[in-house]
Amino acid sequence: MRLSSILSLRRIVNSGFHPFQVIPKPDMWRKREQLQQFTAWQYASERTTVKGAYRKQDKLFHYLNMQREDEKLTEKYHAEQRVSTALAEHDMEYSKFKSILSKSHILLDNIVLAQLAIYEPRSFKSLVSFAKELARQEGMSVIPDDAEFSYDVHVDNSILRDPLPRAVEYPRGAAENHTNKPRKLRPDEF
Amino acid sequence: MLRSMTRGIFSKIAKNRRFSTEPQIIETEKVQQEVLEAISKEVSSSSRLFAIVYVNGRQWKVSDGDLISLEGNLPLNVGDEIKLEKVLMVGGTNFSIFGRPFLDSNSVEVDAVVVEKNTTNPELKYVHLNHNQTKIVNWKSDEATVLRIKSVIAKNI
Amino acid sequence: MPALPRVDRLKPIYTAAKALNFGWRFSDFLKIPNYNGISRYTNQLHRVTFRFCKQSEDSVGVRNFIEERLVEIGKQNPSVVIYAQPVRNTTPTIRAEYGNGRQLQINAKNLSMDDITKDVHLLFSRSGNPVTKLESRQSALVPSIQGQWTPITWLSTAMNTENLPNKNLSTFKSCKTSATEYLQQKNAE
Repeated sequence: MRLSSILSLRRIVNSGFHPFQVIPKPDMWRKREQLQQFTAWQYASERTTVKGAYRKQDKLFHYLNMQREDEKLTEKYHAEQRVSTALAEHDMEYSKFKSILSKSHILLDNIVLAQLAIYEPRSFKSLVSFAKELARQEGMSVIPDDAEFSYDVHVDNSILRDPLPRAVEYPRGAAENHTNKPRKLRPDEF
Repeated sequence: MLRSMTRGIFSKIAKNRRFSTEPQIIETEKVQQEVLEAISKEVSSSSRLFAIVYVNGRQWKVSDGDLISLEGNLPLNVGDEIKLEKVLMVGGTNFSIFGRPFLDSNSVEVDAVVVEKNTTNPELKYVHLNHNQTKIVNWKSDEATVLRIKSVIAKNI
Repeated sequence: MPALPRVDRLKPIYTAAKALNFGWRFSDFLKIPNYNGISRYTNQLHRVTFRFCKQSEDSVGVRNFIEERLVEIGKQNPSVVIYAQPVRNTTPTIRAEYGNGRQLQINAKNLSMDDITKDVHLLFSRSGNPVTKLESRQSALVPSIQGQWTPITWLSTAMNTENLPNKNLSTFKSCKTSATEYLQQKNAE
């Protein structure tokens, strides 16, 4: 259910029918109205001919489907790119940063880290200098902060722990049609 | 509570340069005290804070008056007020406190109201198998619950 | 009357086309009208009208709903005005009007009472804004508290006065030893 969506919105100018005339053959009329909802604002034969419009609609539907499938992964990918770019500005490497965060049990994901880097730059900077200090104490080589913006970090690497186990994601859920049948129960297992 | 959780996790803007020629004894405990006092003073001045909360399988950076749209028809009615308890971080203009992984829910309060429950815009699932006379057009729509963040308050720091 | 009935479709279509950004898809940011929920929450639904027929089979669900559940829902939501309007031989509809002036109408023909209950719940919990594709699942009153990042946020102030190119400001920073540095160290040894 949609609230006041624009129903039957279609182009009239330069399209293939007369605006002030009810077209005969209502069955075909209805189908083409639906088609034109998607192709009314396309160019040339994709708008004016039925065959071209169907071809264009097929493409549009493929693009919409691809967009829907890729949306979640794209968001994560963009977030990762943003975080690594922000880290590059502070002379830090993405892998070192993430490993220190996971060892110190700070479980911020890339999406909010990217938001921090953009909208709350000082918080992000403090997190980076914290990670840098710990990385240095862990024996990784890091480039020290610019003295002008450096934070006075008092931290000891005794706070580091084993990283928490990562949640397992089953993107497709449990398989419904088992290719390998489940083992039969033994009598004592009933 | 927070004091023990955040031990050693805060940082402070350098007042004196780090690379001094004289060796110094840095009293970490004293610095921590100073920082915590400064933070509680900052917090009590009722300035705007932001928090990172975990709701609905996702982390959100929220502040007063934000809207967030959660997936699914959650067991809440419109107008219900809820408290978001999984807070990963709080921050303000001059400070930020990170939880490991969570902050104490008594010291940070994030309150929200359910302002709308509606459906999402239909997304297309489209399967077209060439030469098979198969075209599946499936417009998929989900339910959504919209929250308004009423306040982000930190205390007892 | 002319042989071919003349239908003017242009006017509604061009009115609608004003809101058109691209041909087949709209998107918007997450919004709630009237700053609802900032101080307190008020229901945005103002008026619901049930139109139904007293006899026809199509509106049996609406009739059952009105008999059994409508009063209860009315008591729960005292701020909403509810009309039940019998009209002979009409298609049963439920029309909701919201605080932002929009209205939404559901065709309840041949719907069962449970379906109608679901739809009415949806009508009561909507804010009145149209459903569109969201640009982002979050929207903020104040996007940034510490001040948004700009390209000069973390830029050294020494850049203000130095003449560029400057050797100190343009050295490549790396934690790995370069081949040159390695050879220089070897030479020094």
